[in-house]
Amino acid sequence: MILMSFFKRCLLIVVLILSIGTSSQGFELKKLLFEGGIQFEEPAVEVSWRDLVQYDYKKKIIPPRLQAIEGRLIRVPGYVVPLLGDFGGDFESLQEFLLVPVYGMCIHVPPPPPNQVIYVKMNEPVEVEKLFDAVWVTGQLQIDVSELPNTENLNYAPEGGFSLSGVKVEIYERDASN
Amino acid sequence: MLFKLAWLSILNRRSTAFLTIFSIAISVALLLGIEQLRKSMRNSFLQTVSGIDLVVGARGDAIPILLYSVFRLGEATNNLRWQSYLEWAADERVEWTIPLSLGDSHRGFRVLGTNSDYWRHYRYGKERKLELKTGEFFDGLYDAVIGSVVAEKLKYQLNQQIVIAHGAGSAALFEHDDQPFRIVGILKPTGTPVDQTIHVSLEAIEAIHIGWEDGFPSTQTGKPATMNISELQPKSITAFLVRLSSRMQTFRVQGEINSFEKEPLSAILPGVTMQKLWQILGTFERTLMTVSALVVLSSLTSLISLLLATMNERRREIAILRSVGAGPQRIFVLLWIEATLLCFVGGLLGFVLQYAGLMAVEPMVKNQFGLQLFLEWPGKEEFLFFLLIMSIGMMLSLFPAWRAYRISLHDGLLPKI
Repeated sequence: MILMSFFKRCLLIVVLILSIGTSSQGFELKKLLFEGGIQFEEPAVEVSWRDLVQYDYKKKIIPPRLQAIEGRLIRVPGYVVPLLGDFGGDFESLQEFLLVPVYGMCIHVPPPPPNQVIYVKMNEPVEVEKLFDAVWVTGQLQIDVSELPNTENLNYAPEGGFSLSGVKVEIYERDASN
Repeated sequence: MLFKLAWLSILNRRSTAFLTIFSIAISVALLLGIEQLRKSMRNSFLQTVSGIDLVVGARGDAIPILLYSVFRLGEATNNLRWQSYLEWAADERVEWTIPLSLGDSHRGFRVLGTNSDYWRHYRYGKERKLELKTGEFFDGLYDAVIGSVVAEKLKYQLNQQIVIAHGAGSAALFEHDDQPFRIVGILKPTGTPVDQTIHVSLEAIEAIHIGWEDGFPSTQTGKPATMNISELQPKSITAFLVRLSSRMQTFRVQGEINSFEKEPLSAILPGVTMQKLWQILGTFERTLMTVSALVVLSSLTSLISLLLATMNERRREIAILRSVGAGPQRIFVLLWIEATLLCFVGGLLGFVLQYAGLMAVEPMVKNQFGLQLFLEWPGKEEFLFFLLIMSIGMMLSLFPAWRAYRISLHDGLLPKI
């Protein structure tokens, strides 16, 4: 330290302070990586909606490809439909949302069938800035085939759907793997 | 040793130094204060209601439905039949519902007709319930429960009698003055439109509108005392809030309500709609942030210009320092430390000022504007903000320090002032 002149020492301190001051973005990145209770022992399996759509919700048949990944950590792209969870509508801390393959599905008639929507509950609230952009969601997949309790009103078929205990949300970048 | 020198130098020029510190403090307080206000404004909008999966009203667009049902702004084009509401409330997939009936007002505040489901289920923010400050929830036919802003602005107390007017204007031209209401409860402040609402039972809304079928009072009105509650079954409501037992059913139930054959209804997704609405309001938020950032930048620049301006006076001082052996680099560092110290003290003072200011202003803001300030202990974000401001200040301080460095190279012991 004594070898460096005063000038250089000051410059070093300035650079240090500046880097701390502007690394607030870096803090957020770190938060995204080390989130959730699930440790990343296994890499997440990338799943496409073409696989998910194979689930026959009427006959409740889960094809083998989906059976293999049920309960495992998967990574699936989609558009976020925010839900007013127990934390209100603040999407700086969004905890529950639905993931759909096509943007604007919430206004479509008919509504998306159960094999085209994933209910995601994040372990930690995430910030989803732009809800128009597609995202990758990583989490543990559950396929719920439970029936709703018996009722005289059988206007709707008993059905179940996909749910995900979400660990990570990332912006969808168009890459070669797709 | 340099620190001590810098400190003494500042002490020597106390008054100017204090002015500089104060101006930085004010602008830092302004920036942080506006950031707090922005967060509170955002929270009080986005956290107006939570735990709701669908909002259902007569057929219409999503944003107006959200505005009149949750934010109590604007009017619905039509009501929906009580029978339709009952059918959907009884659906297997629905966990609970809250019926809402709007259309009347009292001295500019909206009157909401609802039932005990409202008190049981309504949540806002992070699972916060509606709580009473005094009194109780409504029981009798003409009981009213008012929000905190209503009580503050109109100076209402428990057991006071109020008269409800038809329509939403503040000057009541048609009043239901034959059937006054009695305030039985006052709610704690929530920071949501609940504070500006007067709550009565659904039956009461029916009662006051008997004889008003044409929209204004007929010459014969039913005697209130002889009506019993059973006759006052609501015939229609304005909207209802729905919570489903499973969120996975959201799209399905929404689709079925939208294609309900017995009546044209619209079920909206409150989360999506709020986000769309926020897009419009978000520009105000971003403008606020830009304004406050510019304020801080301007005051930091004034610090630099102040230091540069005093550079002339200090030429002799610098010359003296040089004569006792301080190299130009040390002069540079000395000036830089001085400017940084001023920034730092100013920043700290601004931080403290901001909290003090917000705490002082909080009751007024809550009562006058119904805006709840969510004041918390400084968190990671505030700390990073402070660090960012300090680093910019340190960067800008390099200019006067550089100037001093150049001066000290040129001047001899007798500078030509």
